Amino acid sequence: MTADDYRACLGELTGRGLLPEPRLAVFAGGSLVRGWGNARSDLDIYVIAQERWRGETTELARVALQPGTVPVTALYVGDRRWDLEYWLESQVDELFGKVMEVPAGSDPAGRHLTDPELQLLERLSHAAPIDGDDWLQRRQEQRAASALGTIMTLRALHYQDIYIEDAVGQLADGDVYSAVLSARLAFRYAIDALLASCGEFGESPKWFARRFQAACPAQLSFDDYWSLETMRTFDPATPEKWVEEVLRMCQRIASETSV
Amino acid sequence: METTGIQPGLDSVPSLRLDARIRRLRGGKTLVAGPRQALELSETAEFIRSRIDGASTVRQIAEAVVGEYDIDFGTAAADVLELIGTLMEAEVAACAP
Repeated sequence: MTADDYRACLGELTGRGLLPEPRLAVFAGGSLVRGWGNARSDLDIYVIAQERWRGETTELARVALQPGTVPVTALYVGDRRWDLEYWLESQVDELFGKVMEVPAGSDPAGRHLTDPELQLLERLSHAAPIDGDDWLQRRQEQRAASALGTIMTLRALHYQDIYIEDAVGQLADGDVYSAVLSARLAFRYAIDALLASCGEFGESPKWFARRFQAACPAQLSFDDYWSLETMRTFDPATPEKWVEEVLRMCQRIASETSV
Repeated sequence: METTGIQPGLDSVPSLRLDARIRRLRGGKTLVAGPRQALELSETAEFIRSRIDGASTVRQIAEAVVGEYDIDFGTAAADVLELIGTLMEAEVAACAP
């Protein structure tokens, strides 16, 4: 889809009575906007307003904000499903309040960000404006000035440590199958941390390969990443060797990822 | 077989424990942590730590320190052994004889 295609969404949404008046901004985000989509991909659209959306709603997405939900509407335009999320300006303000600085204290950074919140923050960076360009630009600048990258990196490293500890304990106990699964999870979060430190983060691991290619981290080649991701060196006869290989890689990534 | 109870020597091979935690901070400092203790490493200590790979001997690591910092081997070896001892105490590293 081109920039004009996204702008044309405004007419479709207005015609269907799916936009509030007044409103602050409408923009598209997600895989289609990033160029990662396919024929079956949804179009994700965000609507920002000062007042709560009272119109047609398919579901309520839970967020750790006030109010604690975001109305969502799904519709089909031709063969493509459009998902609209209706956020309040005050919710977006509160969300940014969570990520402008790395929180002090022992509570792991970023732990209280729900998936919808993470998606919004992620998608802002590559959003296609539909309406209210100034609002989008301001929020993109705010995002660039925030501590979001550090917060997401710390969050991922925290979870990496948890799964490494699990894997080590399971290995010591002879629970090798569980150790393999824990090592896979530790690796997932190690890669998540590495990519977040390069400014590429997201709530879904299905895009790791795409994000890796976009981030092009100096610390690890795509081939080395893909080798572990696809368990190329895993030998069912000696699974503990693969676990150790993965945990060593996680350690190396942590030691080379700045926070 | 590696053990945390030995006194490392020049031919010992140190390795990081699999569950040792590492954080590299902007500004160059590195934190390492075992289950009960966290340590902040100086630049030299981090240089040494980064060469603990489960294959290099203490001697080889000390030689790398000599090359990097232009100090005598005796001083370098003492620094390496001291750090390894500290890391072993903090349960961050272990050493094979």
